[in-house]
Amino acid sequence: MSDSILTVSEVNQEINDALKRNPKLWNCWVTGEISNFKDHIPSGHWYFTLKDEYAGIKAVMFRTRTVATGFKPQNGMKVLIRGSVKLYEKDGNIQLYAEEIYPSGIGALYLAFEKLKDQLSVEGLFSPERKRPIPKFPSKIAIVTSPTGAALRDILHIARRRNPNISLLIVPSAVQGDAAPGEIAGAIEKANSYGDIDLLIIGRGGGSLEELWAFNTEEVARAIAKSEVPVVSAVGHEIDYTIADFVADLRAPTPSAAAEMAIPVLADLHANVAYYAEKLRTRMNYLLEQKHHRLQVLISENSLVRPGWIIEQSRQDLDVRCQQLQEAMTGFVTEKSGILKLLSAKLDLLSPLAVLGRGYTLAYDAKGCVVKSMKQIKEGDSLSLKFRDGSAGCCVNRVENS
Amino acid sequence: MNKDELKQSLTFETGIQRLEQIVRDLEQNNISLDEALELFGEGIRLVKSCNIILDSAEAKVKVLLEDGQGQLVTEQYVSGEN
Repeated sequence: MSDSILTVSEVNQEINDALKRNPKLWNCWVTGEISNFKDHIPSGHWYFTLKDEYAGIKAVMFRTRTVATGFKPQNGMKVLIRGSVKLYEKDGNIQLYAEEIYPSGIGALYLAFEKLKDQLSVEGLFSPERKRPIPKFPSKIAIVTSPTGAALRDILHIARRRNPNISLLIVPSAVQGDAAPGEIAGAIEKANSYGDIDLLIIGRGGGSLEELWAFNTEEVARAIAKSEVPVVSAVGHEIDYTIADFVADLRAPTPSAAAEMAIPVLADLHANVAYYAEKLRTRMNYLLEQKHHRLQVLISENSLVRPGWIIEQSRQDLDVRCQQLQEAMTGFVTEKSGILKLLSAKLDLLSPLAVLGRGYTLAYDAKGCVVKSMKQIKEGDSLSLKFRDGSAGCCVNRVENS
Repeated sequence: MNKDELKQSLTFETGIQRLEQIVRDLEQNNISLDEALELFGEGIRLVKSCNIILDSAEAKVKVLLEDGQGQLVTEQYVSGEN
Protein backbone atom coordinates (compact mmCIF):
# COMPACT_ATOMS: atom_id res chain seq x y z
CA MET A 1 0.00 0.00 0.00
CA SER A 2 2.74 2.36 1.01
CA ASP A 3 4.39 1.72 -2.34
CA SER A 4 1.50 3.43 -4.07
CA ILE A 5 1.76 6.59 -2.02
CA LEU A 6 3.44 9.21 -4.13
CA THR A 7 4.97 12.48 -3.15
CA VAL A 8 3.89 15.63 -4.94
CA SER A 9 7.25 15.74 -6.63
CA GLU A 10 6.76 12.20 -7.85
CA VAL A 11 3.32 13.04 -9.20
CA ASN A 12 4.67 16.00 -11.07
CA GLN A 13 7.59 13.94 -12.31
CA GLU A 14 5.14 11.36 -13.68
CA ILE A 15 3.06 14.06 -15.34
CA ASN A 16 6.14 15.60 -16.91
CA ASP A 17 7.34 12.22 -18.17
CA ALA A 18 3.92 11.53 -19.63
CA LEU A 19 3.96 14.92 -21.39
CA LYS A 20 7.44 14.36 -22.77
CA ARG A 21 6.47 10.95 -24.13
CA ASN A 22 3.70 12.50 -26.21
CA PRO A 23 5.22 13.80 -29.46
CA LYS A 24 2.09 15.80 -30.16
CA LEU A 25 2.93 18.10 -27.30
CA TRP A 26 6.57 18.51 -28.20
CA ASN A 27 7.59 21.16 -30.70
CA CYS A 28 3.99 21.60 -31.77
CA TRP A 29 1.92 24.38 -33.29
CA VAL A 30 -0.94 25.73 -31.20
CA THR A 31 -3.47 28.32 -32.21
CA GLY A 32 -5.55 30.36 -29.80
CA GLU A 33 -6.41 33.79 -28.45
CA ILE A 34 -4.26 35.72 -26.02
CA SER A 35 -5.57 36.81 -22.62
CA ASN A 36 -4.00 37.95 -19.35
CA PHE A 37 -0.97 39.13 -21.29
CA LYS A 38 1.85 40.32 -19.01
CA ASP A 39 5.15 41.70 -20.22
CA HIS A 40 7.14 41.01 -17.08
CA ILE A 41 9.52 43.74 -16.01
CA PRO A 42 12.46 43.58 -15.67
CA SER A 43 12.89 40.00 -16.93
CA GLY A 44 11.24 40.74 -20.31
CA HIS A 45 9.50 37.36 -20.36
CA TRP A 46 5.93 37.25 -21.64
CA TYR A 47 3.26 35.48 -19.59
CA PHE A 48 -0.24 34.96 -20.93
CA THR A 49 -3.07 32.52 -21.22
CA LEU A 50 -3.84 31.00 -24.61
CA LYS A 51 -7.50 30.13 -24.91
CA ASP A 52 -10.19 29.17 -27.31
CA GLU A 53 -13.94 28.99 -26.88
CA TYR A 54 -13.81 26.15 -24.39
CA ALA A 55 -10.41 25.97 -22.75
CA GLY A 56 -7.25 27.75 -21.73
CA ILE A 57 -3.60 27.01 -21.10
CA LYS A 58 -0.93 29.07 -19.44
CA ALA A 59 1.87 30.11 -21.75
CA VAL A 60 5.27 31.67 -21.34
CA MET A 61 7.71 33.08 -23.85
CA PHE A 62 11.18 33.89 -22.59
CA ARG A 63 12.95 37.07 -23.43
CA THR A 64 15.52 35.27 -25.58
CA ARG A 65 12.63 34.30 -27.90
CA THR A 66 10.45 37.42 -27.65
CA VAL A 67 13.17 39.65 -29.07
CA ALA A 68 12.94 37.79 -32.38
CA THR A 69 9.21 38.39 -32.64
CA GLY A 70 8.20 41.17 -34.95
CA PHE A 71 5.16 42.29 -32.97
CA LYS A 72 3.80 42.64 -29.43
CA PRO A 73 0.88 40.39 -28.60
CA GLN A 74 -2.22 41.93 -27.13
CA ASN A 75 -5.15 40.52 -25.30
CA GLY A 76 -7.78 39.20 -27.70
CA MET A 77 -5.26 38.69 -30.48
CA LYS A 78 -5.41 35.41 -32.33
CA VAL A 79 -2.00 33.84 -32.61
CA LEU A 80 -0.18 30.79 -33.81
CA ILE A 81 2.53 29.50 -31.50
CA ARG A 82 5.25 26.97 -31.91
CA GLY A 83 6.45 25.49 -28.65
CA SER A 84 6.34 22.56 -26.25
CA VAL A 85 3.93 21.69 -23.45
CA LYS A 86 5.70 21.09 -20.16
CA LEU A 87 4.88 21.03 -16.51
CA TYR A 88 6.12 23.82 -14.28
CA GLU A 89 6.76 21.53 -11.35
CA LYS A 90 6.97 24.25 -8.71
CA ASP A 91 3.26 25.01 -8.81
CA GLY A 92 2.02 22.07 -10.87
CA ASN A 93 0.94 24.19 -13.79
CA ILE A 94 1.07 22.76 -17.27
CA GLN A 95 2.36 25.50 -19.54
CA LEU A 96 3.00 26.11 -23.18
CA TYR A 97 6.61 27.23 -23.58
CA ALA A 98 6.49 29.32 -26.75
CA GLU A 99 9.43 29.44 -29.15
CA GLU A 100 7.79 31.37 -32.01
CA ILE A 101 4.62 33.40 -32.15
CA TYR A 102 2.78 34.81 -35.17
CA PRO A 103 -0.46 36.65 -35.57
CA SER A 104 -2.89 33.99 -36.68
CA GLY A 105 -3.76 33.77 -40.37
CA ILE A 106 -0.45 35.25 -41.39
CA GLY A 107 1.21 32.70 -39.17
CA ALA A 108 -0.50 29.89 -40.98
CA LEU A 109 0.44 31.39 -44.33
CA TYR A 110 3.99 31.85 -43.20
CA LEU A 111 4.15 28.21 -42.21
CA ALA A 112 2.78 27.12 -45.57
CA PHE A 113 5.28 29.42 -47.28
CA GLU A 114 8.24 27.95 -45.43
CA LYS A 115 7.03 24.43 -46.01
CA LEU A 116 6.56 24.90 -49.76
CA LYS A 117 9.82 26.80 -50.04
CA ASP A 118 11.71 23.93 -48.39
CA GLN A 119 9.96 21.36 -50.53
CA LEU A 120 10.61 23.12 -53.85
CA SER A 121 14.14 23.96 -52.81
CA VAL A 122 14.84 20.27 -52.16
CA GLU A 123 13.37 19.49 -55.57
CA GLY A 124 15.89 21.91 -57.04
CA LEU A 125 13.36 24.33 -58.50
CA PHE A 126 15.34 27.33 -57.24
CA SER A 127 18.73 26.14 -58.39
CA PRO A 128 20.72 28.62 -60.50
CA GLU A 129 21.35 25.98 -63.19
CA ARG A 130 17.63 25.89 -63.95
CA LYS A 131 17.46 29.62 -64.65
CA ARG A 132 16.85 30.43 -68.28
CA PRO A 133 18.87 33.36 -69.61
CA ILE A 134 16.96 36.62 -69.88
CA PRO A 135 17.14 37.89 -73.47
CA LYS A 136 19.03 41.16 -73.71
CA PHE A 137 16.89 42.47 -76.54
CA PRO A 138 13.38 41.02 -76.25
CA SER A 139 11.13 42.18 -79.05
CA LYS A 140 7.93 40.67 -77.71
CA ILE A 141 7.08 40.56 -74.02
CA ALA A 142 4.02 38.96 -72.47
CA ILE A 143 2.67 40.20 -69.16
CA VAL A 144 0.63 37.93 -66.91
CA THR A 145 -1.26 40.20 -64.58
CA SER A 146 -4.62 41.76 -63.88
CA PRO A 147 -5.74 43.83 -66.88
CA THR A 148 -7.05 46.48 -64.50
CA GLY A 149 -4.23 46.49 -61.96
CA ALA A 150 -1.65 49.11 -61.13
CA ALA A 151 1.12 46.72 -62.17
CA LEU A 152 -0.03 46.70 -65.80
CA ARG A 153 -0.43 50.46 -65.83
CA ASP A 154 3.11 50.91 -64.50
CA ILE A 155 4.62 48.42 -66.94
CA LEU A 156 2.85 49.95 -69.97
CA HIS A 157 3.90 53.42 -68.91
CA ILE A 158 7.55 52.48 -68.55
CA ALA A 159 7.54 50.35 -71.70
CA ARG A 160 6.23 53.26 -73.76
CA ARG A 161 8.85 55.58 -72.30
CA ARG A 162 11.76 53.21 -72.88
CA ASN A 163 10.86 51.74 -76.23
CA PRO A 164 7.73 52.96 -77.98
CA ASN A 165 8.20 50.25 -80.63
CA ILE A 166 8.15 47.28 -78.30
CA SER A 167 5.43 44.69 -78.68
CA LEU A 168 3.53 43.75 -75.54
CA LEU A 169 1.03 40.96 -75.03
CA ILE A 170 -1.20 41.11 -71.99
CA VAL A 171 -2.32 37.74 -70.67
CA PRO A 172 -5.12 38.62 -68.26
CA SER A 173 -5.36 36.80 -64.98
CA ALA A 174 -6.76 37.32 -61.52
CA VAL A 175 -3.86 38.02 -59.17
CA GLN A 176 -5.64 37.60 -55.84
CA GLY A 177 -8.41 35.44 -54.48
CA ASP A 178 -9.05 31.74 -54.69
CA ALA A 179 -9.11 31.61 -58.49
CA ALA A 180 -5.81 33.47 -58.87
CA PRO A 181 -3.30 30.57 -58.63
CA GLY A 182 -5.13 28.57 -61.31
CA GLU A 183 -5.55 31.60 -63.55
CA ILE A 184 -1.92 32.69 -63.24
CA ALA A 185 -0.69 29.17 -64.00
CA GLY A 186 -3.13 28.94 -66.91
CA ALA A 187 -1.98 32.31 -68.27
CA ILE A 188 1.66 31.23 -68.14
CA GLU A 189 0.72 28.10 -70.10
CA LYS A 190 -1.31 30.13 -72.61
CA ALA A 191 1.57 32.52 -73.21
CA ASN A 192 3.87 29.56 -73.81
CA SER A 193 1.56 27.81 -76.23
CA TYR A 194 0.84 31.06 -78.09
CA GLY A 195 4.56 31.26 -78.82
CA ASP A 196 6.50 34.10 -80.44
CA ILE A 197 7.27 35.55 -77.01
CA ASP A 198 10.77 36.35 -75.80
CA LEU A 199 10.03 37.10 -72.18
CA LEU A 200 7.25 36.70 -69.64
CA ILE A 201 6.64 39.12 -66.80
CA ILE A 202 4.29 37.86 -64.12
CA GLY A 203 3.28 40.05 -61.26
CA ARG A 204 1.01 42.42 -59.46
CA GLY A 205 1.23 45.57 -57.40
CA GLY A 206 1.74 45.73 -53.67
CA GLY A 207 -0.72 44.25 -51.22
CA SER A 208 -1.05 42.35 -47.98
CA LEU A 209 0.48 38.94 -47.59
CA GLU A 210 -2.93 37.41 -48.23
CA GLU A 211 -3.34 39.46 -51.40
CA LEU A 212 0.02 38.36 -52.73
CA TRP A 213 -0.67 34.79 -51.73
CA ALA A 214 -1.34 33.36 -55.18
CA PHE A 215 2.36 33.90 -55.96
CA ASN A 216 3.26 31.66 -53.01
CA THR A 217 1.29 28.67 -54.28
CA GLU A 218 2.75 25.47 -55.62
CA GLU A 219 0.56 25.70 -58.72
CA VAL A 220 2.08 29.01 -59.79
CA ALA A 221 5.58 27.91 -58.80
CA ARG A 222 5.34 24.80 -60.99
CA ALA A 223 3.86 26.74 -63.91
CA ILE A 224 6.83 29.14 -63.77
CA ALA A 225 9.28 26.25 -63.58
CA LYS A 226 7.61 24.60 -66.57
CA SER A 227 7.59 27.73 -68.74
CA GLU A 228 9.87 27.58 -71.75
CA VAL A 229 9.84 31.35 -72.05
CA PRO A 230 12.09 33.01 -69.44
CA VAL A 231 10.07 34.45 -66.56
CA VAL A 232 10.61 37.67 -64.63
CA SER A 233 8.64 37.83 -61.37
CA ALA A 234 7.43 41.22 -60.25
CA VAL A 235 5.29 40.83 -57.18
CA GLY A 236 4.39 43.62 -54.77
CA HIS A 237 7.01 45.87 -53.31
CA GLU A 238 10.71 45.49 -52.90
CA ILE A 239 10.38 43.91 -49.45
CA ASP A 240 7.94 41.24 -50.60
CA TYR A 241 9.54 37.91 -51.41
CA THR A 242 7.34 35.20 -52.86
CA ILE A 243 7.90 31.62 -53.94
CA ALA A 244 7.39 32.88 -57.49
CA ASP A 245 10.46 35.09 -57.01
CA PHE A 246 12.58 32.08 -56.12
CA VAL A 247 11.43 29.99 -59.07
CA ALA A 248 11.50 32.78 -61.65
CA ASP A 249 14.55 33.28 -63.82
CA LEU A 250 14.83 36.84 -62.60
CA ARG A 251 13.21 38.64 -59.67
CA ALA A 252 12.24 42.23 -60.15
CA PRO A 253 11.51 44.09 -56.93
CA THR A 254 8.40 45.75 -58.44
CA PRO A 255 6.45 45.61 -61.72
CA SER A 256 7.95 48.97 -62.73
CA ALA A 257 11.41 47.60 -62.07
CA ALA A 258 10.57 44.54 -64.18
CA ALA A 259 9.78 46.78 -67.12
CA GLU A 260 12.99 48.74 -66.55
CA MET A 261 15.04 45.54 -66.39
CA ALA A 262 13.39 43.77 -69.30
CA ILE A 263 12.87 46.51 -71.86
CA PRO A 264 15.95 48.11 -73.36
CA VAL A 265 15.75 51.82 -74.20
CA LEU A 266 15.25 52.25 -77.96
CA ALA A 267 17.96 54.90 -78.17
CA ASP A 268 20.37 52.52 -76.46
CA LEU A 269 19.54 49.84 -79.02
CA HIS A 270 20.22 52.24 -81.86
CA ALA A 271 23.43 53.27 -80.11
CA ASN A 272 24.35 49.62 -79.84
CA VAL A 273 23.89 49.12 -83.58
CA ALA A 274 25.78 52.33 -84.28
CA TYR A 275 28.61 51.10 -82.07
CA TYR A 276 29.00 47.98 -84.19
CA ALA A 277 28.69 49.95 -87.42
CA GLU A 278 31.52 52.21 -86.22
CA LYS A 279 33.55 49.24 -85.07
CA LEU A 280 33.11 47.58 -88.47
CA ARG A 281 34.25 50.71 -90.30
CA THR A 282 37.28 51.45 -88.15
CA ARG A 283 38.33 47.83 -88.25
CA MET A 284 37.88 47.61 -92.02
CA ASN A 285 39.81 50.85 -92.49
CA TYR A 286 42.58 49.54 -90.35
CA LEU A 287 42.71 46.28 -92.29
CA LEU A 288 42.76 48.14 -95.60
CA GLU A 289 45.57 50.38 -94.38
CA GLN A 290 47.45 47.38 -93.14
CA LYS A 291 47.09 45.56 -96.47
CA HIS A 292 47.99 48.74 -98.33
CA HIS A 293 51.07 49.15 -96.21
CA ARG A 294 52.14 45.60 -96.95
CA LEU A 295 51.61 46.25 -100.61
CA GLN A 296 53.78 49.36 -100.37
CA VAL A 297 56.52 47.38 -98.74
CA LEU A 298 56.38 44.81 -101.50
CA ILE A 299 56.32 47.46 -104.19
CA SER A 300 59.33 49.19 -102.74
CA GLU A 301 61.37 46.05 -103.12
CA ASN A 302 63.80 46.23 -106.16
CA SER A 303 62.38 43.35 -108.13
CA LEU A 304 59.08 45.16 -108.55
CA VAL A 305 60.42 48.69 -108.87
CA ARG A 306 62.89 47.73 -111.72
CA PRO A 307 61.71 44.62 -113.47
CA GLY A 308 64.97 44.67 -115.61
CA TRP A 309 67.03 44.52 -112.49
CA ILE A 310 67.15 40.75 -112.43
CA ILE A 311 68.32 40.67 -116.06
CA GLU A 312 70.93 43.31 -115.36
CA GLN A 313 72.09 41.39 -112.43
CA SER A 314 72.26 38.22 -114.50
CA ARG A 315 74.16 40.02 -117.19
CA GLN A 316 76.67 41.26 -114.67
CA ASP A 317 76.93 37.82 -113.33
CA LEU A 318 77.62 36.53 -116.78
CA ASP A 319 80.36 39.11 -117.29
CA VAL A 320 82.06 38.08 -114.11
CA ARG A 321 81.90 34.44 -115.06
CA CYS A 322 83.19 35.22 -118.52
CA GLN A 323 86.15 37.06 -117.12
CA GLN A 324 86.84 34.29 -114.71
CA LEU A 325 86.77 31.87 -117.62
CA GLN A 326 89.15 33.99 -119.64
CA GLU A 327 91.54 34.29 -116.75
CA ALA A 328 91.40 30.61 -116.14
CA MET A 329 91.99 29.88 -119.80
CA THR A 330 94.89 32.29 -120.01
CA GLY A 331 96.44 30.74 -116.97
CA PHE A 332 96.00 27.33 -118.49
CA VAL A 333 97.61 28.33 -121.75
CA THR A 334 100.46 30.14 -120.03
CA GLU A 335 101.13 27.17 -117.89
CA LYS A 336 101.14 24.81 -120.87
CA SER A 337 103.49 27.01 -122.93
CA GLY A 338 105.86 27.16 -119.98
CA ILE A 339 105.93 23.40 -119.93
CA LEU A 340 106.49 23.36 -123.68
CA LYS A 341 109.52 25.69 -123.40
CA LEU A 342 110.97 23.58 -120.71
CA LEU A 343 110.46 20.42 -122.66
CA SER A 344 111.91 21.84 -125.88
CA ALA A 345 114.92 23.09 -123.93
CA LYS A 346 115.40 19.59 -122.64
CA LEU A 347 114.92 18.29 -126.15
CA ASP A 348 117.51 20.76 -127.44
CA LEU A 349 120.01 19.40 -125.00
CA LEU A 350 119.49 15.95 -126.36
CA SER A 351 119.64 17.01 -130.03
CA PRO A 352 122.82 16.11 -131.82
CA LEU A 353 122.62 19.47 -133.50
CA ALA A 354 123.01 21.14 -130.15
CA VAL A 355 126.43 19.52 -129.89
CA LEU A 356 127.42 21.62 -132.88
CA GLY A 357 126.59 24.72 -130.81
CA ARG A 358 129.22 23.72 -128.36
CA GLY A 359 131.93 23.63 -131.15
CA TYR A 360 131.62 20.08 -132.38
CA THR A 361 131.10 19.18 -136.08
CA LEU A 362 129.40 16.27 -137.75
CA ALA A 363 130.97 14.51 -140.71
CA TYR A 364 128.88 13.03 -143.46
CA ASP A 365 130.22 10.82 -146.24
CA ALA A 366 129.31 11.24 -149.85
CA LYS A 367 126.17 9.19 -149.30
CA GLY A 368 125.13 11.55 -146.53
CA CYS A 369 125.75 9.05 -143.72
CA VAL A 370 127.24 10.29 -140.48
CA VAL A 371 130.79 9.18 -140.24
CA LYS A 372 131.16 7.55 -136.85
CA SER A 373 134.38 5.63 -137.47
CA MET A 374 137.64 6.06 -139.39
CA LYS A 375 136.95 2.70 -140.95
CA GLN A 376 134.22 4.24 -143.01
CA ILE A 377 136.63 6.51 -144.86
CA LYS A 378 139.88 6.33 -146.80
CA GLU A 379 142.25 8.91 -148.14
CA GLY A 380 140.80 10.90 -150.95
CA ASP A 381 137.12 10.59 -149.80
CA SER A 382 135.05 13.72 -149.88
CA LEU A 383 133.30 14.54 -146.65
CA SER A 384 130.82 17.16 -145.73
CA LEU A 385 131.39 18.79 -142.34
CA LYS A 386 128.33 20.19 -140.67
CA PHE A 387 128.77 23.15 -138.36
CA ARG A 388 126.35 24.93 -136.15
CA ASP A 389 125.78 27.54 -138.75
CA GLY A 390 126.65 25.87 -142.02
CA SER A 391 128.69 23.16 -143.73
CA ALA A 392 131.92 22.75 -145.67
CA GLY A 393 133.15 20.23 -148.26
CA CYS A 394 136.43 18.58 -147.30
CA CYS A 395 138.86 16.09 -148.74
CA VAL A 396 140.43 13.36 -146.55
CA ASN A 397 144.21 13.64 -146.66
CA ARG A 398 145.11 10.98 -144.22
CA VAL A 399 143.46 8.23 -142.16
CA GLU A 400 145.03 7.20 -138.92
CA ASN A 401 144.12 4.80 -136.19
CA SER A 402 144.00 6.52 -132.90
CA MET B 1 14.70 41.96 -98.35
CA ASN B 2 11.40 43.43 -97.26
CA LYS B 3 10.44 43.99 -93.68
CA ASP B 4 8.37 40.84 -93.24
CA GLU B 5 11.08 38.62 -94.60
CA LEU B 6 13.57 40.37 -92.39
CA LYS B 7 11.48 39.80 -89.30
CA GLN B 8 11.19 36.13 -90.02
CA SER B 9 14.81 35.46 -90.77
CA LEU B 10 16.51 37.68 -88.23
CA THR B 11 15.85 38.91 -84.73
CA PHE B 12 17.56 41.91 -83.26
CA GLU B 13 19.26 39.68 -80.72
CA THR B 14 20.72 37.26 -83.28
CA GLY B 15 21.67 40.24 -85.44
CA ILE B 16 23.65 41.83 -82.63
CA GLN B 17 25.23 38.50 -81.73
CA ARG B 18 26.35 37.99 -85.33
CA LEU B 19 27.73 41.54 -85.43
CA GLU B 20 29.75 40.84 -82.30
CA GLN B 21 31.17 37.74 -83.96
CA ILE B 22 31.96 39.59 -87.18
CA VAL B 23 33.85 42.29 -85.32
CA ARG B 24 35.75 39.61 -83.41
CA ASP B 25 36.63 37.86 -86.68
CA LEU B 26 37.76 41.12 -88.26
CA GLU B 27 40.06 41.63 -85.31
CA GLN B 28 42.07 38.58 -86.35
CA ASN B 29 45.20 40.04 -87.86
CA ASN B 30 45.83 37.27 -90.32
CA ILE B 31 42.44 37.58 -91.97
CA SER B 32 42.57 37.74 -95.76
CA LEU B 33 41.32 40.79 -97.59
CA ASP B 34 38.62 38.77 -99.35
CA GLU B 35 37.32 37.38 -96.07
CA ALA B 36 37.47 40.79 -94.44
CA LEU B 37 35.55 42.43 -97.26
CA GLU B 38 32.92 39.70 -97.16
CA LEU B 39 32.49 40.02 -93.38
CA PHE B 40 32.40 43.79 -93.62
CA GLY B 41 29.68 43.56 -96.26
CA GLU B 42 27.66 41.18 -94.11
CA GLY B 43 28.16 43.41 -91.07
CA ILE B 44 26.97 46.53 -92.85
CA ARG B 45 23.89 44.65 -94.08
CA LEU B 46 23.22 43.48 -90.49
CA VAL B 47 23.54 47.03 -89.16
CA LYS B 48 20.96 48.11 -91.68
CA SER B 49 18.69 45.18 -90.85
CA CYS B 50 18.93 45.75 -87.09
CA ASN B 51 17.99 49.39 -87.52
CA ILE B 52 15.05 48.36 -89.69
CA ILE B 53 13.92 45.89 -87.03
CA LEU B 54 14.06 48.58 -84.35
CA ASP B 55 12.18 51.14 -86.39
CA SER B 56 9.65 48.85 -87.95
CA ALA B 57 8.62 46.92 -84.82
CA GLU B 58 4.88 47.03 -84.46
CA ALA B 59 4.30 49.23 -81.45
CA LYS B 60 1.36 47.15 -80.39
CA VAL B 61 -0.18 46.24 -77.09
CA LYS B 62 -2.46 43.25 -77.47
CA VAL B 63 -4.43 41.04 -75.14
CA LEU B 64 -4.23 37.25 -75.36
CA LEU B 65 -7.64 35.65 -74.94
CA GLU B 66 -9.38 32.37 -75.53
CA ASP B 67 -12.27 32.36 -77.96
CA GLY B 68 -15.39 30.20 -77.56
CA GLN B 69 -13.65 27.13 -79.00
CA GLY B 70 -10.70 27.45 -76.66
CA GLN B 71 -8.49 28.88 -79.41
CA LEU B 72 -5.99 31.56 -78.45
CA VAL B 73 -6.70 34.90 -80.11
CA THR B 74 -5.31 38.38 -79.65
CA GLU B 75 -7.21 41.62 -79.41
CA GLN B 76 -6.03 45.18 -79.48
CA TYR B 77 -5.59 46.39 -75.91
CA VAL B 78 -7.84 49.26 -74.92
CA SER B 79 -6.57 51.03 -71.85
CA GLY B 80 -9.15 51.42 -69.11
CA GLU B 81 -8.03 55.03 -68.73
CA ASN B 82 -9.01 55.99 -72.27
